[in-house]
Amino acid sequence: MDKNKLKTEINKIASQSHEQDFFSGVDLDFIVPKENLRRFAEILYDNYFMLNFITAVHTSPESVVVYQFMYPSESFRVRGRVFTGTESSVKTVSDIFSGAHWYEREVMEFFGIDFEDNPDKRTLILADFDKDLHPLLKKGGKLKSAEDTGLKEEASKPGEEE
Amino acid sequence: MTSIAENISESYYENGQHKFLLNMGPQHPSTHGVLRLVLEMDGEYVTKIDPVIGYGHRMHEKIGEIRPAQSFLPNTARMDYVCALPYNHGYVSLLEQAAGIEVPRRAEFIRVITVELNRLASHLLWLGTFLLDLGAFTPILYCFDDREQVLDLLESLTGSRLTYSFHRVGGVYSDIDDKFIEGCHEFIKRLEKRFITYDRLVTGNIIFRKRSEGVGVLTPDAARRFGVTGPNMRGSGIDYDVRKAFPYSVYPEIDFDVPVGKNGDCLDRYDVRIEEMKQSIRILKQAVEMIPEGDIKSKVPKKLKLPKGHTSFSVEAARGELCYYMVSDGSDVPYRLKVRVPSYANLSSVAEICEGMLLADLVAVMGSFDLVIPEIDR
Repeated sequence: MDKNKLKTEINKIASQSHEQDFFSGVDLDFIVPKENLRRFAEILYDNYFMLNFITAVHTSPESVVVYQFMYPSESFRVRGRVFTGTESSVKTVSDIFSGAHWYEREVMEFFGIDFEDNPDKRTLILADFDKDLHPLLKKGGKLKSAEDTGLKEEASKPGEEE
Repeated sequence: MTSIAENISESYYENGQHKFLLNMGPQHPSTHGVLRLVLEMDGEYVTKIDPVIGYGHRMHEKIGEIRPAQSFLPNTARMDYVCALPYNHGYVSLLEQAAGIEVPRRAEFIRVITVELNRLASHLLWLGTFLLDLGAFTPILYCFDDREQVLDLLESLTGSRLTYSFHRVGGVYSDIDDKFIEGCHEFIKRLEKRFITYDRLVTGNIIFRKRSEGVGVLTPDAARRFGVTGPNMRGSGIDYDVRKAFPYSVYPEIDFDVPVGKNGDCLDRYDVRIEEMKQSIRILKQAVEMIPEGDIKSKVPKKLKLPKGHTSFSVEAARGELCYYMVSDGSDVPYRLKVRVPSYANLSSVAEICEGMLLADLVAVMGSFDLVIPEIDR
């Protein structure tokens, strides 16, 4: 695997995250635009990556879905973050990585985030009647913005942005 | 298979085949915990599998988000209770990585020794129960006898026999003494003799070979797609071990091999786990010799300061890669704590690889996968 080639390939569709002041646990960390998520997963699949996990973080105003991948025979990990937008839905990657299926079902019931085109939207861990419970959503003052949790770069001064 | 519960025990014809739904679990002895499998059967052959999980769900992730980071430590041992110490290890390492805490070398060695002992206990339990699933009653008595020795050793050090919370942020809870090291040596000597017994008793047994050879083949491609890790993945020939691929603690200083299989069937998974036990003994032998003098715990503030941002830490648990992912907002309570448990991905692959096999073979595959259900449910 050519790490630099992979990096430039992903950089075309996603922006690399800024460095934080402690080790993030991965070698490459990306913020992936919602529409490029499937392309991001396909690139990693073609480069023989494995899915590590999918999870979500509830932040205001939009939640974040986190995808982590690893490369088995070399020490290399990649993480991608996708902001779900106000409609709280992203595209499924379960047809690319079969293991994503269960993780998506889990995120669906715990966070109420919809995965478009996922063929099986039954609850996985919770019971059927708790379908709309979404236990991992933060309530009241506990809910923080993505900037507060370091998942989104704090907006720079007006005028400096592209 | 949407409304599974209503259709149970009704039979119907599909494409000329006489099919019916069969409920296996949640109290079936060979599912090793409260796992329910809804099987679509064609005679004795399984045509479709739908695992139903969540019976042991306790929402550990939520508990981790509502109280200070250090007080979540006992919960980590309640997920995979068969091999709890790697869970301790991963969690404290995550917090140390985030808060930038140094760990004394002696403490790291004690961690490795206890984790490897726990891995041996877990694999011994697996060996006994797997063979029990295949119909051999004798090995479990030997295995539990050996496992008892490990638990006694760990009890003398940690004070508990199953759900340890022994590792601490910045070190470990108590120091090991000469008596413990002597006990380790005795146990190693004993187990090395036992391996010969196991080999003679099991490996060449014709019934065992017929039930495991070529059964439940997990291809390297399927392992990759599903994210199967641990001995199950290594049985398919991919040499991925977190201890080697992403070295942590003092593993890089210790000399050991990562055993891999060839075909990915039940027999290969058996071979890999047996070999892994021997490697654990190799690690133990070296760690006991190399352990330096010194402190066992560094100074840690009572209230941990977790800086803003996100981080993850992976360790090799007995069943595969265990990964903690934490998002922090700058306080001492994690904003989000995700636990990636190995059995979760391992079980999700069963539905694909077991399609079209005999019901009796499904039991063999489930046994060889070494699933711990409360870990999946969390």
